[in-house]
Order: sequence, then structure tokens, then C-alpha cells
Amino acid sequence: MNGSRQAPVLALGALFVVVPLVLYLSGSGYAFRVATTIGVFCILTVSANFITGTTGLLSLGHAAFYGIGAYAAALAATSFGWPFWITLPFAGLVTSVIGILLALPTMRLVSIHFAVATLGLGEIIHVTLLNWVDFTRGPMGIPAIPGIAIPGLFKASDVGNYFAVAVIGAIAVFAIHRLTHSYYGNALRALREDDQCAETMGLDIVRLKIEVFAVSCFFAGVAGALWSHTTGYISPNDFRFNESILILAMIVVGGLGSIPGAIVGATLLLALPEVLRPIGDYRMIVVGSVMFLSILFLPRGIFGEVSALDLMRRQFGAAWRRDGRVGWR
Amino acid sequence: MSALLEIDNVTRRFGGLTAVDGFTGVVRRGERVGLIGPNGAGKTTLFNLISGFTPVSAGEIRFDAHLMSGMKSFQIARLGVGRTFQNLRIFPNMTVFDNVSVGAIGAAGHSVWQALARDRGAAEKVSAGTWAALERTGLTALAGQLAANLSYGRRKYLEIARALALEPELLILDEPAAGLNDTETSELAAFVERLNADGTTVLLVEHDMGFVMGLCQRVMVMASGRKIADGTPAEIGRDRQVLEAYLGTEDDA
Repeated sequence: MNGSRQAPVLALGALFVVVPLVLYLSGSGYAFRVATTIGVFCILTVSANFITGTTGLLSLGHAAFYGIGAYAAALAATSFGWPFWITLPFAGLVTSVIGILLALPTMRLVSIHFAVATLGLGEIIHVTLLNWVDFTRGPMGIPAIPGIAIPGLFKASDVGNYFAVAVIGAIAVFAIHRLTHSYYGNALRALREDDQCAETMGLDIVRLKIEVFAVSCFFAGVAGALWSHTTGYISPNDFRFNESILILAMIVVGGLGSIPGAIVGATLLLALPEVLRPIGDYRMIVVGSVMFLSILFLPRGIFGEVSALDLMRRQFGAAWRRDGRVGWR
Repeated sequence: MSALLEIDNVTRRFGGLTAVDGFTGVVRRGERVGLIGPNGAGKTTLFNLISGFTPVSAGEIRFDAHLMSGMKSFQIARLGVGRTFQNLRIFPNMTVFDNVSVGAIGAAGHSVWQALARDRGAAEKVSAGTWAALERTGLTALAGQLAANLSYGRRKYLEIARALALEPELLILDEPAAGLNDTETSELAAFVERLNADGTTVLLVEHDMGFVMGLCQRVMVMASGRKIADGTPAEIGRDRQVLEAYLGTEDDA
């Protein structure tokens, strides 16, 4: 039984031992900062993939919900002096509630109509962050957001940020993994494939959509809070439409509907420009080419949904029978 | 036999078109009932009204004494009405097992908290329901295959399996024999008879007259949205109105 669950052990080992060791040996805080950014984006892509890949609701406003979380945490930390372990869940909850309220009218929409509605929501949120100067300080942004620290235990540092993002990221991926790799996930995939038909099979599709939106926005908000606390400064420009598109590109390149794909996509598209820094501005051409060619030759993504589900079934699936693991436990 | 499904003076209008026009009919518990009629008679619309796909414009539909008009289609499904579709609507990118599990999830209900807590009891219930439906339809060996890879005939059984996983009291089949050859059609008839013998009430729409007349104990005939005949296959075969609906009157000729 234990022998069949190597994937989570390997992933946790890489996240908490191998990667930090390599970053440490590279000898710069900068490497840790890049890894922290990748970690925040992994939470974003995994949560965006949950709504867009698994449930099939194309969200073009994910960066805006990320922004709500970032502002909720930044304002709570700078105005009320709340520590990060309170601002983090607070940001998630605020984003989740605002997300549900904004999304309720869109619950009857599917495909491109849902996409355009979320595009509109994203713009509304961005313009609000930009122009509600009394509350958000508008284009000046919010500086001096306290870092992630526990007084007497550890001080804010690049290494500390990395481990904080790693722990929160592992929890986020674990929660979404349970929802994706289960019969609940089957219900969401059925909703994606044919929502009307899924409803005649007894699935309450409006409830499912609201739940998915709540979960996805919660973790987008948590990612935003981590971004606020790890960078120390945020402004509305961090949460524009082009960020939503970048998140979308990451999950499509990685593999729509696949959690490992979302992580691979975020890591590849953020690490590549850093690795290619020596070739200067040409690197963006390489990044664009990687996106273009990977979609051309791997349309289902680098780590597509079918292979991801196969792997997860072998790791976490259940047979309830002798003939193969096809169901979920 | 008690009435399981009561369709009471039901009408459905689409703009100026009246697809179903004051249809009244009953399906009793344990029956095998066929619904036939020329193209455009309103049969599929009537099915969509029963399963809550489209709302009725007027009239009432009751299932097991529950008023269904106004219910959402997932509520009707959970009440015990399973259906298949005229143009197959399987989930092609999911495995056979996962397709069928959707019906079992519908029957068991779904909860985000149960999924987060990895509730073992709920998962076992869905698994058991799925395996039972796969066994009844002979798809057990194909459980791990992607649905898109199945043959056309197998997909038909997959749709039926998915509906059976809901453990429905009433199974509604929309043109189950369409596109099947003679051997497959007679296998399907035997299969539906077995399901019925096991306690599932069956209502089906079909164009293949031999299939309907051989399988169903009672046949309702629809033309231009109305019911024009209701009786045993033998009675229907003699009915003058039915012959006119299918072949036209002497005046038309």
C-alpha cells in the first residue's frame, strides 16, 4: 500500500529538500525569490485549472481575484497590523465571498459567454483597485507590507518566504487534489463535458459551479496574500488582464484539467526567462516559441489530463475489485 | 397496477409552434410502454418535458404522486427517472467507469466536504452502484477504456448503464435501436425485457416498428403533438387513425 504512493513522497521531498538545497547552493537570495514567485503562481494555476480545466468554465478574470486577495491581506496587515497567519485565511475568505457574489449572476452561462462575463468582472475589479484611491491608494499601490515572520521564531527572509509559500502551496494543492481526484471530480468533469446531460444524471450543476468558484477564488486570494507578504509592495498593475492570460497560457501548456500540468506550466513559463537571462531580450522569443510549439505538438499539454488521472488513480485510486484501479476511494 | 408516471393535459409551445398539445397519458409501475409517431410528432419534446430538460407551458406531470412540473432536471433524476438521448450524449473524454459513476453520484448526492474529507462510505457507495450498472450492461471488462474508444453499439449500452446507475424506477429510452443492425436490435430488445423483469418500468420512443411492437406491452401513438391512440400493439396495428397518421388519408393521395 505504502509502496504505491511514491508520487506525493517524491513531490514533498523535492519541494522541501532538493529544491531549497539547490537554491541554497546557487548562493543567492534572488534564486529563492524566483522560486517563491513560481510557488505563488503554482497556487494560482492549480486553482485556475480547477475552474477552467477540470470544470470547463473558462475564467478570464483569475488575476483580478488574485488581486482582491492581495489587497485584502495588504490592507489588513498595514491598517490593522494583522499577522500573516490571519491575513492569509482572511484574504482567501474575502476573495471567496466577493467571487461568489460577483459570479452568482453568471452561473447560468456556459462556454464563451461565461468567459466574457469573467473578463468583465476582472476589468471591474481592476478599475476599482485603480480608482478607489481612498481605500486602495490607487496607482500608488501599497508599500511596506510586512513580510512573513513569527516574532522570536524567525525573521522575514527570502528563505523563510520560500518555505512559507511551499507549505501553503502544498496545502492548496492537497485540497484541490482531493476535490479533483475523487468522485466529486468526476462530477465536475461531467459538468464540463455536457452540463445539461450531467444535470439529467442527478447532478446539481448550479451548486457545483458555486462550490468550484468558491474554492478557486479562495486559493486565488491566498496566493494574492502570499504575493503581498513576500514582495512587500503591490499595485493594481500586478493584477491586470494580461496576468489572467499568462495564467491561462500556463495551464494550457501544462495540460488543461491536470494538476501536475498546471504546476509544470507555471514552473516552465516562469523559470525559462530566468534561465535564459544570458541571451537578453531574445529569451522572450524562446518563451513564445516554447508556448507555440508545445501547443502544436502536445495539444493536450505537457502533462495532459488523461495521463494525470491515470497516474493519480494508480497512486490514490481504488479498485474495490481485483480488476484494476478505475475508481476513486 | 398503480400509475408511476402521469402526464396530464401537457402542452409545450416554442414561440408560435405547439410541439406538444394537450397530451395525456399514464405509465403504470412495471410496464413496458412504447411511444411512436411520425417525425416531428413531439415525442422527444415530451421526453424532455418529463425529464425536466424543458419546462411545460401548461398541464402537469406527476411521478409517483410527486408533481414534477417546476422541478429541475437533477431533482427529477434523483426522484427516480433515468433517461438516454436520441443523439448519444456520453462524456467522450472520460472512462467508461467514470461515465457510469456520474449516474451513481447523482443517486448518492455530492458534497464538497465529503470529497475534502475523503469520506470512504460515500465513495464505496458510488463504486458499488457503478459496478452494478456496468455488470448489468456487460461493460465490466471495458471499465478503464475511454468512452470515445467504444463502438457505437457499446456506447448505447454505456448510456443505458449511466442511467441505470441512478437506480431509476422509470427508464426513458429515446430511440435506443437507432443505428443498430438486426442482431443488435434483437439483443437490445432481450436486454430491455430483462431490465423490465428486474423491476424497472420502461418508456421508449422508437422508429423501428418491429422493435416496439415486439417489446412493448402497450403503445401510445403521437401525431402533431397529440395522442391519437393508446393500446396493445395488436390494437394499434388495426387503428385507422394511426394508419392515416403514418400513411396519410385517401384525400391526401
